Amino acid sequence: MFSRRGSEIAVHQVSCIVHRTVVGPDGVQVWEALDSGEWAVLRLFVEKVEDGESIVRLMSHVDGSTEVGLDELLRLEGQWWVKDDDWVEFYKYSSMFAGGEGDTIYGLAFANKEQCSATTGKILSCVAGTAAGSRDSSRPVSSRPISINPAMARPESSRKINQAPLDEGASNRSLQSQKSISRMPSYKTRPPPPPDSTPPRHKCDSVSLVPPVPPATPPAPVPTAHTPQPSQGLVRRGGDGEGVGGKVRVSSFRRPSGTIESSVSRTLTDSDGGSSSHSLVSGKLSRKLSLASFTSVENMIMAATDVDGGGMEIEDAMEAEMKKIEEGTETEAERISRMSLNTGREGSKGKEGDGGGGGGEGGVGGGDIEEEEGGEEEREVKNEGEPLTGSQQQSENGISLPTNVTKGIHVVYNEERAHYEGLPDGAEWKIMNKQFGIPIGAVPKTTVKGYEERIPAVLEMMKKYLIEHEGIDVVGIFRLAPDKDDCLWAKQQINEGEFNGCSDVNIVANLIKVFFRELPVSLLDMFEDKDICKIADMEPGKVVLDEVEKVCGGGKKGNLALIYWLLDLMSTVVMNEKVNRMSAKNMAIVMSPNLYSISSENPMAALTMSQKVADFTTVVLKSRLGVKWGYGD
Amino acid sequence: MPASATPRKKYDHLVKLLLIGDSGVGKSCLLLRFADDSFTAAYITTIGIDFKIKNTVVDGKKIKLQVWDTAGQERFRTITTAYYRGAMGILLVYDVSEEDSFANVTNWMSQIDENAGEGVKRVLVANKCDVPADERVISEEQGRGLAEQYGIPYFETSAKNNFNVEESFMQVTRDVLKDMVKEKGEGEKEGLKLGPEGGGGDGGCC
Repeated sequence: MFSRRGSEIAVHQVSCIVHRTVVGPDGVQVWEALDSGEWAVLRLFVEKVEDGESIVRLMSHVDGSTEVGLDELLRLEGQWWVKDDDWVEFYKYSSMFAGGEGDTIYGLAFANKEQCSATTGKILSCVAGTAAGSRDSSRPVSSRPISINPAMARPESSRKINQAPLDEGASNRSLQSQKSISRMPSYKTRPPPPPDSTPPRHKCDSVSLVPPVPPATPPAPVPTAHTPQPSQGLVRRGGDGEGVGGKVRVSSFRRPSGTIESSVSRTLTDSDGGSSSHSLVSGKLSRKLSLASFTSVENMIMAATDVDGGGMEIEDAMEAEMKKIEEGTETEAERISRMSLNTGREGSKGKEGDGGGGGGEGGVGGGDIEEEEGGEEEREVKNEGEPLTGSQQQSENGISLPTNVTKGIHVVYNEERAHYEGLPDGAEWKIMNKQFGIPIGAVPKTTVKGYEERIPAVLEMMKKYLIEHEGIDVVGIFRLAPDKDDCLWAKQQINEGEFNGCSDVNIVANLIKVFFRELPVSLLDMFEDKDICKIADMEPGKVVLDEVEKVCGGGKKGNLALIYWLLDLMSTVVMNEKVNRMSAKNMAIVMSPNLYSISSENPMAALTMSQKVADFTTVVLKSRLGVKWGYGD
Repeated sequence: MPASATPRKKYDHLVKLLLIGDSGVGKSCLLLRFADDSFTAAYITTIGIDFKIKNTVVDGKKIKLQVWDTAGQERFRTITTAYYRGAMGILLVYDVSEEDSFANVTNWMSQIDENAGEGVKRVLVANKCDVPADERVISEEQGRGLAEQYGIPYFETSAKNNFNVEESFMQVTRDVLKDMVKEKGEGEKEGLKLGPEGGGGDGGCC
């Protein structure tokens, strides 16, 4: 269970697969992994839950690649929570994932639909960005953009539905239904019992599974579908899995309630061909997946994201979709029957199972195979019957929605030392401690007294270190360069969360500069050149600070709190200038080049501008010194 | 390209020198001493880049020395490295009482390799050799050894006490001139070598 104490952080792990969706003549949608079968792992670090707000840090990582994406911190008006039941009453808008522990449901709750939708999209784009970056662009499938926003990816008909307003009753029903859906197949959970009867194919309650295909049944035209290919990226299994899975297809999906059938079908009719991937598809059958579990989760999320009351329109939408499908948007995927979805994670995740998050790890760990194998027959099954052949088309690339959620570990963010504690070993976890070179928004923060916004914890940590080690008594602090190698080493230590002090306070002072220097968007970049020049020529005083606040939108934008934090750090140094010889001007000169991106390529122009920025910083620093600290020349 | 010996010029050669090194090692003070024969104990940081002119005579030739003083601040490097290209000689300065500034000489050397012209003349300057012995952390042997590794001249200087400042600047100037004369000879033959004034017009100077 997620604890709300302090900076304890629950880390939830979500797996997504980079896939494309293909739709067959019978309306069956199948997802298949892209060529290399990337799996993306998304980790959600739920940093803070307070006052009805959560701060979630996303880390996405494509398995087998070294790329790790760190997204901005998401500030959610809702909450990330883990609950077994009774959540329905509390949360109208939510994204949720089938849990890794029995019936536990993990979810994100939001204050409104827009946020819910946007956040889900952001989660996905986080994964998509990483996945896209890691894929070989020469592959045909990669050349197409990955659709990440389910709302955008859906056909017009269902989109329309999704935009219908939500009414209370519908929401409740939807959540109820989601709840039941959420207990649908996932990696970890046992498959639900088979339904009483096989529903019509486009109105099935869940994923449709074709039972194991008897040899006589014309299966996928490409027999390699049954061939174990353990070496391939996606299908990381011992080689036995291919034959186990039944013919799994994802059909049009409908939630049990019948009224809030929003997102249902991801039946993506192909608008732009995709024939380029045709041969690829047939050659990669063994890697193809039809992601029953994904779809159930996806639908669940989409249902949640786009909750609406447009149930009556569903039928129409379905009809339209079916019609489209029947008109010939058949896809290669129809032939895809082998599915090894649940075993795909094998081996790659074992090391993450040590976090103590209950049984969650198992969901992505060794439990997969047996569960899939064991559960296969029990799954809700819908026999689509007809063999899949004919002209088939790829439908759409995409990133699957999160699934396979596990609460893998529990870590603590130590704000004092600006690092996570309790992270498992492994480079993809280490990256969580990266502090330099990422946007201010993505840097973990800490509350510092006297500032309205939270301040990057690493800065506060370095400031404390500097002061505790009498850095402000060092002549030329912030001016003198430390040994470059020592500095790089210390920086790396911080980035990996292993900083335990260093030999020279100049290193820490320099790293504070480096932090600002390496920000993707510099601290003062919302000041235009003309603002800089204007303020640079002003007399120090409160009016200067007013002007700064004005540019910063009164603190609403532009990191005003961080600007003040930095000015106060500089002030602390300057007020000791008799010892350290760092006058306000000196301090401003050495700090200012790190705070503003000078656009000019022309060295002369750049020099002129950098002098202006130095003047600007001097004026602002003197103003802060006078106004807040009562310190004058 | 104007010929270097054009009579209307007040000088025979224009030599562009560059001072580089860590922040606070005394580059500006060395220049102040060299160009104005003065010294200030004030702790002044250079913004970006600055320059001074000094006219001198070497081997009977009138030389106009244009010395660029760069900020040691790392962030200024995008600006300062732009000036490397025009430099004919570079004085790489470190502070004998600052170990890091010596350790970073290697990095400055690679900055030179990356940004300066190929034939640029270099000299290693160990400044602040006036500090009391107990404050000195880099010995003459260390400095000289490093200079030998790079095959460049080494000078111990004190801008404060006016020790060896002139000598270090003149050494690199002579090295530049030596090449100039040589290149001029070749240039006349081949007609393509850049004369000493080649870079003289683009510095934005007087």
